[in-house]
Amino acid sequence: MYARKQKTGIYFLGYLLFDLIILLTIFYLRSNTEVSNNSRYLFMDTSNHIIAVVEILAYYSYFFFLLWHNTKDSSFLYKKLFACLLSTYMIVLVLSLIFNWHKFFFLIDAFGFILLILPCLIYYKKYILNTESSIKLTQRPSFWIVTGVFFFSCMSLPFYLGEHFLSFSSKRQFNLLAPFFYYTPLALNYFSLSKAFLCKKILTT
Amino acid sequence: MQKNLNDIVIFFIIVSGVIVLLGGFVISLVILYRKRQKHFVEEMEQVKLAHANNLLQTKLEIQEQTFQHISREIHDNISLSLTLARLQLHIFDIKNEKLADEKLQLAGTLITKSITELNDISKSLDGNMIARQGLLAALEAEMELLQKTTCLKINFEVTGNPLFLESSSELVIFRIIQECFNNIIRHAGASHGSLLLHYDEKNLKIKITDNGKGFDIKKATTVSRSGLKNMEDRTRLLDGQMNIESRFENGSVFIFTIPMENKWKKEKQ
Repeated sequence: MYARKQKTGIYFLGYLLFDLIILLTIFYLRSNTEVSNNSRYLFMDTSNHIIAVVEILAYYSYFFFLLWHNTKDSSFLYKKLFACLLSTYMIVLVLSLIFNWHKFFFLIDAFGFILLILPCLIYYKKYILNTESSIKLTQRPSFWIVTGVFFFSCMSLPFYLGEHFLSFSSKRQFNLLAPFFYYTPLALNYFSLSKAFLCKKILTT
Repeated sequence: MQKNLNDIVIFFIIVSGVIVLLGGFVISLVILYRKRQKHFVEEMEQVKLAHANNLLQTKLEIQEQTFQHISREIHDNISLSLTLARLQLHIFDIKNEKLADEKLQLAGTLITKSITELNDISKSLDGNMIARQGLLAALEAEMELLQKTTCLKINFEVTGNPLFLESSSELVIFRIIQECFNNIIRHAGASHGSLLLHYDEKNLKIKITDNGKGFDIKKATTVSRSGLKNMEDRTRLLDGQMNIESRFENGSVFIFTIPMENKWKKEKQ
C-alpha cells in the first residue's frame, strides 16, 4: 500500500496485478474441460510473452529512475543504449508472435533475461561497490528489487535455454521439474518485491 | 532412457551451479557493503567529533576574547575612574563649599561612568546572546564595543532577507568576524572599517574592509596557527569560501561566502 504513493510503485503494482489476472485465467482454463488443449497452450504461450513484455517495461522504468535519471553525464548514453536494446527486444517479440516463430522463442526469452541482468550488474557496481552509505543494505528497497530480478533472471536463463533442449528428449521428466524451476525464481522475485515495499522508503533508495 | 537421465543430471548440475554462484555473489556483495558501511560510519563519527571539537574551541575562544576585553576595560577605564573618584573624595574639603560641590559632582560623574561601563561588561558576559538574540544583534553589540574601546570607526550594514541560522553556525560566523576585526585592530593600523552582511537565497556573503596598511597574503596564510588560517578552517567548516584582497598601504578586503543550505533555522520576524 505504501508503494502506490510512488510512480515506480504503481508500475510494479500494475505488473503484479496483470500477472495475477493471467495466472487466474490459466488456472481457470486448466480446470475448464470445455477448452481445447491447443487453445489452452496457445493462450499460455502468448500470455507468457505478454507478461514478459509488461515485466520488462516495469523493471526498465524502475531502472531508468534508479540508474539513469541524470541527463547530463554518461548515464544518458546508457539510457539511450538500453532504450535501443529494449525496443529491439519488443519489436522482435511482437514479430515472433505475429509470424509464429516458435523455434526462436527460447532465444528471445533468453535475450529478455539478459536485458534484465545487465542493469542489475550496473546497479551492483554503482551502488554497492562504489558508493558509501549509512543505510543498511537490507533496508534499501532498491537492493531487494534488483536482487530479486537478478536471481529470477539468472535462474530462469538456464531453465528457458534447457527447456528447448530437454523438452524434446525427456518431456515427462521435464514436466515434473518445470513447475519447480519456473515458480521458485518467480516466488523469490515476488518475495523480494514485497520486502522492498515493506522497507517503507522511496523505492529508489 | 539413459540419455534422458544424463540430460536431467546435467540440467540439475547447471542450475545448482548457477544458484550456488548467485548465492555466493550476493553474499559477497553484502559482506563488502557492510565493510564499506562500517568504515563510512566510523568516518562520519570522526567528522562529527572534529566538528564538535571545533565548535567547542570556537566557544572557548569567544569566551577568552570576552575575558580579555573585560580585563582591559576594568584595568584601563573602570579602575581609573574609581581611583579618580576616590582621589576626589580623599581631598574633599567640606569647609570650602564651592570646591566641595565641584569635587562631589566630579566623583559622582566618575562613579556613574564606572557603573555604565560595568553594565556594558555584564552584557558582554552574556554568553548566550547569539543563541537568544541571533547573530545580527551580537554583531551590533560587538561592533559598538570595538568602536568604543579602539580607534576604529566601523560601518555595519545588513542587506537582503536576513535569516536565523543554526546557533552553531552563527557562533562560528561570529567568531570569524571577531577574529577578522582583531587582526585589523592589531596589525592593520586602520582608522575605518566596514562590515557588510548580504543574505540571498543560497548564500550569506560577509564583506569586511579596512583602510589599513595591507599585508602579504601568501606569507600570512602559510604561517601555521595564524589567525588567517583559523578563519579559513572555520569557513571550510561551514562549507564556505574565503577570499582576500590586500595591497600595501591600500587596505584589505575579506569576503566570506557561506552556503545557507541545511543551516537555516527560521525566518527572522
